Amino acid sequence: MSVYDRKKEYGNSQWALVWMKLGENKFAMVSFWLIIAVILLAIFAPLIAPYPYDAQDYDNIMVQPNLQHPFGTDQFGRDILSRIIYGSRYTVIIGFGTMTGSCILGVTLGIFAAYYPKLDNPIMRFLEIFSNIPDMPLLMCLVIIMGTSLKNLLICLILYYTPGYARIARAKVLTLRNEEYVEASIALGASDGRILLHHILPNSLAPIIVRFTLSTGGSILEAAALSYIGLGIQPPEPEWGLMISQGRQFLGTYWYYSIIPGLCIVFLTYILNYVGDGLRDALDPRLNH
Amino acid sequence: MDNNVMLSVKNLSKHFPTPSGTLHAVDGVTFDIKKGTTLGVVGESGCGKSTLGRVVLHLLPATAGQIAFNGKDITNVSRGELYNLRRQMQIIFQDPFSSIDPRMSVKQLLSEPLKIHKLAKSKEEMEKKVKEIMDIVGLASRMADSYAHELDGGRRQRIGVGRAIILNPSFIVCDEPVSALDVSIQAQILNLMQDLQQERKLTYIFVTHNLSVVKHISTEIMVMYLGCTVEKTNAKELFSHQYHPYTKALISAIPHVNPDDNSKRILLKGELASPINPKEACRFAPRCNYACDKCHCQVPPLEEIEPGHFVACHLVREINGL
Repeated sequence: MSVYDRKKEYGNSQWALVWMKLGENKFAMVSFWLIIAVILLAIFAPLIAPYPYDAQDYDNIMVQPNLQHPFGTDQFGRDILSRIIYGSRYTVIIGFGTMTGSCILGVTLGIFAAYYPKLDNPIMRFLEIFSNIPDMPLLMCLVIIMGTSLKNLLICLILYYTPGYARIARAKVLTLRNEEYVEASIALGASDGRILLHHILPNSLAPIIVRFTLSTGGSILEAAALSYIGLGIQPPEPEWGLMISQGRQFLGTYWYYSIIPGLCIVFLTYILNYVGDGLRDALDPRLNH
Repeated sequence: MDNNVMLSVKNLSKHFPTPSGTLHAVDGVTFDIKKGTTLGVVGESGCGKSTLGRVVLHLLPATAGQIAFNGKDITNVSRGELYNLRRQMQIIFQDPFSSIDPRMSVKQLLSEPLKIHKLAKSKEEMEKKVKEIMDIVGLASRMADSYAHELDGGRRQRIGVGRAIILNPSFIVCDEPVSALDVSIQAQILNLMQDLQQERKLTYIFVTHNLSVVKHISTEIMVMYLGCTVEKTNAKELFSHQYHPYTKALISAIPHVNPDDNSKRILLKGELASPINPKEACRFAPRCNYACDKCHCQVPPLEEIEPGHFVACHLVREINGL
């Protein structure tokens, strides 16, 4: 299909074109709608879940999956399906909250570091403090210092993911600021703010969006791992990583208790990666024609 | 000062610090441009012609020298003054592929200058002005929503010209505006620029290495070699008789249409000398067929050999029998 045909069909913005190219990648498209479904699941959890997440039913403790409890129940007789559905709220908040926070913070810092050479060393060297320590020790230290809560978990993960965004944004801006079209805008009398917002940011978005989708899965895994070792979300709240940890002691007899939340994490991470992969191809302007 | 002079440049220098020494990109260049005329700047790659244009426009800070625009010294201007100055001094870039933001449509690109200088009070006025300019530079209005990567080089360069003239400037630096284009399109863009010059009384600095282009468009021509002016005179004069050995070699390199024409090409030996920490000497001396001891230890001044014909060569009288 030529560019002109595409335009007739999809309108004229570059984003329409990206959307259309994403549509040609079936895996990415299916994954995209599945992510939307998970987000809706999180928002409407109380309406969808068959039981409250903390309703204990001592007549049905450790029930194998059946029609009343499709994923079985845990040691307090709580419905695992309902807990998974409520747990998606934490996962979605952590995944997208961390990425949005660290993206905004990291990109802003990265752009300033690259555009104003005097700020480059202070900003980047400071951020490297966070990126040079291996993830788990860093996150564990931060959580232990700040205390365990959803808010603190988010802050820790945002701090951990910020340097990555800052580095991408900085690298992109360093190449873009020497572009001739930036010089052309300077020659027209454009202010720094205008150049950053109208020329540099739109042109550096592609790798940032790809990183956003690809590392959302990563942050979900980190949060689940922290919950698993008891430093994330605290019981009795339903969080997928925490559920794996709780089911661990029953793994020999009641496999589904740990395996099902585990599969949920794997599934969500997979579809996020598929969308990220698809977006990377769709956003590459060299593949436009 | 002469009221008729649009831009006056005196002893302008631009040096870049590099790890291996100071790079003298432009060294002591002096010229005046009269209103409504074109100064062609020619020279081989790396002789500082593009740098000269950028320093004049304050896209690069000058190391030394003065720039006066319309009789007013603009060498050291404040941010606010520079903003106002930008409306009167514009630039057309060499490469229409890299000088246009790939994420902007033609309409956005052309309205950007108006937005920066708040020249349109309403959306309708903006659209009207953009449409007018698209007419003037010869872009069909159906292309208003196209992006640069969908247009050919000629149309992209028309966008570049449109962006430069939409602010109604009086002076434009043309930095090799046609060298990235096909020959057939070069002529179209050159004609467009000449028409615009006549209609709007524009003054151009036309930087190029293409001699036939510069002959076509210039009123005066300045030949540069390694950051220095070697010869400067009006266009006709330069092509009929040259006095500097470098200019002679340059002009003789123009290919001839007549196969029987046996006029000899002057071949230059050696490479362009390094512009880093040049010694006090004629910059062209290492490649010059006539160079004497004086040439290797003294910088030749730019002398007026004939009225309006300036040459920087110690031996200009001996070589040309003047």
